[in-house]
Amino acid sequence: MSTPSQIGQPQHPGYAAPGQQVPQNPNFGGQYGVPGQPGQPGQPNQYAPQGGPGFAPNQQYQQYQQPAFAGPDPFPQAKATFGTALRSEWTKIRTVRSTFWTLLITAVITIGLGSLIAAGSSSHPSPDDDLTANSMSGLFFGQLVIVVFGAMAITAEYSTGMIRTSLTSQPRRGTLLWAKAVIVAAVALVIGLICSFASFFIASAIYSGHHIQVSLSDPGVLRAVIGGGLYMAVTALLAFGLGALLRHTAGAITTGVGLLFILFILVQFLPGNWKHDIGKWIPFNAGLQIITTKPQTDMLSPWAGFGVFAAYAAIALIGGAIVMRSRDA
Amino acid sequence: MLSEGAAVIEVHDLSKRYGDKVAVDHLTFAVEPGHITGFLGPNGAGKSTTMRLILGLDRPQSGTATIDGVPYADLREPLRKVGALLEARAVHTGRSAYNHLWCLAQSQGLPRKRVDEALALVGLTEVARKRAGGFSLGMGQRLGIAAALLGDPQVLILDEPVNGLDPEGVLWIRNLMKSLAAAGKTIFVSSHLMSEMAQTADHLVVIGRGQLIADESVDAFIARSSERSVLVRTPQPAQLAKELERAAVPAQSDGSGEGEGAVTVATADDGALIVRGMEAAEIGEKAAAARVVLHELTPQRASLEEAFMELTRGSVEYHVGTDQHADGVPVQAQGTPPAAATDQTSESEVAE
Repeated sequence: MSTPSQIGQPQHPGYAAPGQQVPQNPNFGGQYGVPGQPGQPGQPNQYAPQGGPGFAPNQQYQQYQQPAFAGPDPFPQAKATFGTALRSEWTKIRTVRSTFWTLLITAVITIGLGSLIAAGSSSHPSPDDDLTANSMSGLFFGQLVIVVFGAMAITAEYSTGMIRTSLTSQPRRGTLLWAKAVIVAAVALVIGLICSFASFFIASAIYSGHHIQVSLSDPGVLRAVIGGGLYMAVTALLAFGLGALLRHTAGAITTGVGLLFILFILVQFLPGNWKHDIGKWIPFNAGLQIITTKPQTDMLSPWAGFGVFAAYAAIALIGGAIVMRSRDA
Repeated sequence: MLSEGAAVIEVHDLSKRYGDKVAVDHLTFAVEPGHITGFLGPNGAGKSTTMRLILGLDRPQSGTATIDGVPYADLREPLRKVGALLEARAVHTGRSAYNHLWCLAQSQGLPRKRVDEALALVGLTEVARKRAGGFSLGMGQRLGIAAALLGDPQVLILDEPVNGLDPEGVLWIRNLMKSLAAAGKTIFVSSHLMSEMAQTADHLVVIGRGQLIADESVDAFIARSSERSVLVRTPQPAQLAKELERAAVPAQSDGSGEGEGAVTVATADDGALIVRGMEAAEIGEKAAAARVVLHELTPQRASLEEAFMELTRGSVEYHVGTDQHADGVPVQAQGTPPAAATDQTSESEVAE
């Protein structure tokens, strides 16, 4: 609509929804660029710089702003900040199905397998058993699913192209990445805590059936159970960092599972001394010290081990952040 | 409010390479408010890359791209300033249209009602709760336009917006752009469809192989390639060509093959001559002086499509005086359809 009379009509102040009939200028098309008659009314080129009668639309049509956008600044609060990025990322993560499914499977595997292992170990207990750690051994497998959750939180944006839309709404890449990381960590922490507390309480019910008592008030137990949730959160962050680094779902998941699980299996095949010297530093062994309540031979202490594990995650995250900032989206 | 004449999108000496391939080559242009600026180029010319560079999605090797003097990455309220529709669908396929817009709105602190308004605007209210992955190409395009309009931006950057839209949708987006431009907004819209631009744009930025070919009004763009084109029908084409050729020799002496003074003669499919670089009156005088009979002498105006083809293809036409055939009538090298085709194009555009 380029003629003043049509733009000025209040019933067509801005956009017409598709399907709505809009009177079209019958002169459109075909007449552009007729030499010698620039800027005639009804021609699409009336806004061309040579200055026809329809030029300078700013002054002429200001009063016909779209009704939805009435007023000088309809959204004075509209700023892209870290806070708004957090809200946006929270909406993003809870509005895709993969979040629901990965978290459900994480919980089922972690709690289910943890309970099975606890039931198995309680039938012939030995005094050396770390019953708390056993109750949460579902984490060994649940962590593989939380890897999928953490990785997909970022790689799905790349595979669908959503990242380009995200970056136009929040062009500060660091802000976007860290807001996402906070949400991923928080969600994984909550699901991890649910899993480890549920595992612990189910296992202690099984144990008490065999007249073995474990309690949250026992030394180190509360730390171990909360630690199970922390382990999940850091695992998700590790996978998230790998996802930002690799920008590829399968690649990030494979690398995450490889670091956590395959490395653990490979270390078992190392000769004795190496196995102990190297074994305690690998992510799986280091991180899971947090769920132990009895001192382990040749292993780091619970918090030292967890710190090492968190350092791996930090390296992946920093690597991801560097890639995010430097590479084209 | 934007002051008139202020350059809202400014691209300066922008270059981008992907490996060995130069996608954008030292591009400089500005996009003004209050107009629809068409961004034209053949496929692979670097249009999408340029838009990605403006939006800060890709990093240029050199040069700058700014919105109101500020790089996109430094905008505090990006969706209020710029609405962008990107080339490929940039939507998470598992999220509903409503939630897609809602998370974008939240990222800027825009109110929830803007989501409903944007959905209503593009006619997606009915399917707002459906997954975007199940959308048709046209629906996906509408969702992208809704996202672009979410923050009522001052600048719209639309990459091939009519892709996948039905005729009704094409008409709608065209009217939408016109009304927004009339409201003083800056519209930068890419297309490889010249006819679409002809009906929409006021100003053109044309690129080819990453380089700027033209940055001018639609009028000027067409005039530039067609001002010297004259259709001549004569029973003695060879003789007339020779006469015109003789007249062209002085103009040739400035050394440049395609300089201002170059005169070219080509034959159309039906045997008519197409003369460039000489006014119709002068051709008539030369013909009269040589006693050549003329059946028709018509100044030609090119459609935007032809102007585009003319300016983007390599210079492959024969130049009188530099490459002569034995009979004096050069064979037409390429393109340049006869007058009838030009008129048909115009008519079909009116009918649409």
